[in-house]
Amino acid sequence: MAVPELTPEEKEEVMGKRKWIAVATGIAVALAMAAGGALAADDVIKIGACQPITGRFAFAGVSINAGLQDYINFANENGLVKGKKLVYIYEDTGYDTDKAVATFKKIMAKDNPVIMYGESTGQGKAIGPELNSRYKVLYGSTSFSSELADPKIHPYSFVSGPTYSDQFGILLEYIAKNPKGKGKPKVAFFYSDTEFGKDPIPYARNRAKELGIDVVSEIVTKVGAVDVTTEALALKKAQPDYCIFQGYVLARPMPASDLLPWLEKNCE
Amino acid sequence: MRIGDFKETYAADEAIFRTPAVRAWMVALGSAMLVFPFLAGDYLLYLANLIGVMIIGALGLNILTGFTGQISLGHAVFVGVGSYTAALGATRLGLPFYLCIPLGGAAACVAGGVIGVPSLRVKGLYLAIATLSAQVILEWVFSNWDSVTGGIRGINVPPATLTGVSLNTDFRVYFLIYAVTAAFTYFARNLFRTRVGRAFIAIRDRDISAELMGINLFRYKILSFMVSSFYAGVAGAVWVYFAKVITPEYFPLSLSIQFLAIVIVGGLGSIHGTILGAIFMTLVPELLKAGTEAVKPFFPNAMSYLFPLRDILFGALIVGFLIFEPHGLAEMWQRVKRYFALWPFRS
Repeated sequence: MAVPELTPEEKEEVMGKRKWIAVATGIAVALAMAAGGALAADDVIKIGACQPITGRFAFAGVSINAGLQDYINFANENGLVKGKKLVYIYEDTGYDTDKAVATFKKIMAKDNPVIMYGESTGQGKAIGPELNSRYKVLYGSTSFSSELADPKIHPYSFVSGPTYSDQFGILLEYIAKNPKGKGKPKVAFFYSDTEFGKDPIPYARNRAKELGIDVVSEIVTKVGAVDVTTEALALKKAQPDYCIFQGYVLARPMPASDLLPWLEKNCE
Repeated sequence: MRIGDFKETYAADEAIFRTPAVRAWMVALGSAMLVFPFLAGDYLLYLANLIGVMIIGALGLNILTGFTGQISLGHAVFVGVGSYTAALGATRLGLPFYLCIPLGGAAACVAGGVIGVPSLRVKGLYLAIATLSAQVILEWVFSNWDSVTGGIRGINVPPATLTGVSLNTDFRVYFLIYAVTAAFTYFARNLFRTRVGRAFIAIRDRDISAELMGINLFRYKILSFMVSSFYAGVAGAVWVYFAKVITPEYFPLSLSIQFLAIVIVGGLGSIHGTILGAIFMTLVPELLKAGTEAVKPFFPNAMSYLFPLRDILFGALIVGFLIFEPHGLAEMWQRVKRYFALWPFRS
């Protein structure tokens, strides 16, 4: 509030005593405001989020968090929800299922938002039984697992886009319709050894068989692998017509022509 | 001030809780733990349950590492074996929780016995690597044996039911977890007053001397692995009824290391140190998090720098502990106790 945004160099100064007094005063003000805010609760719609700001998914969590925050600011500034103000409440989970569930319960107990946003498939599954029986809030997450999209098991959970399996299905159908050369199209699956990397693979194998696509190679990379030369060589050796990557978080969707310049700009 | 330690009967010599003061404190602790779930909210209850499960698992590792001197980097997968066995027992065979929990322990016990075999020949760092291989192999089995473990998607488990009451909330599971935790803490505390427990300690202190004194090293080392894994398996089985879903992601190497950290921070070869360690390792990150949450409104744009600061601080705290109190939280606790027992004299 009163303290402006700091550069990392300035952060040490903040630890000074005087600033702490300012912070303490600020906390008191914030508490007073929170108490005041409680009175006007009818005009506020709370949206909670458990975000992996730290941990190995942080590269995505930070951006997703900023994105949600931006949209909520945008909605407030333009009055998209008539007469109501959206409030965004987020906490860090460290991309750890236990901590994510704890964070979920903490936010629910403290703020009782009407919408919750989660970090992973693991969290969605772990929170599922209690979401159905106790919390009954609208739940979305950074997961496109088909299990979470199943209204029978997870009626309160919504997946905002095609599931991992659907994404694979769409690509495989495109490949079946646009074969390169003669004979069966040859496809390689290249995926990470993560929950979201492996989730659609069984479905994809079946779908490929149904569509008459030859899966020539399945290559799995380790989590956090920096050097994937051997995997890339294996891919080259398999000589596929198409390769489907799954379980990596790179960038927004973009046309193939933009990809190489983007990679050159963003990767070394 | 206490001036001596006199015992007039065998019963007094054998008592676990030796002085009236200790007994009074234990009663106070027990009643506080019984009252706690009625007062605490969801979040605190969840953390309390998490601590309970970690205590059971870490007690197992302390029996192996702290009391028998055998290092293990595969403790998490024994927890996993217990979890999967209990989950399979509950879903495929429809067994009640009071059978699934010992069953999970038994399965982990067998796995631990097998993994413990190399401990006769290899020691120290070499044993660490041997147990690490168990971690890698079993973790791979969890995520790839689809027909049994459900692969990466895991198994969803229905809540435990006791005489028709479904233990489907943290409040109800709390009593299950802490009943098991109390029983296993009591067992561990007693174990080291028996022939077997003393054999473990003798092996830790000097295995060659222990062997010369007639302790069968192979038998007792395997036994230690089995007891330790039984604890891990029970922790895993209880975990199943708490989390209601298990996936291979729950049992990574980092969990094994976390158990090791609990045991080291708490105090090697100390039962109440294990409990303090589990509380420390679970609560301190949450407290640090609460700290960053408190300053969040003032630096809304610096969160991606502030949050990782927490992990650095937590790491620094652990290093600080190791330097200033190598015997862990247990020793710190003893020092505080001594201070009050000897007051007004210096200890």
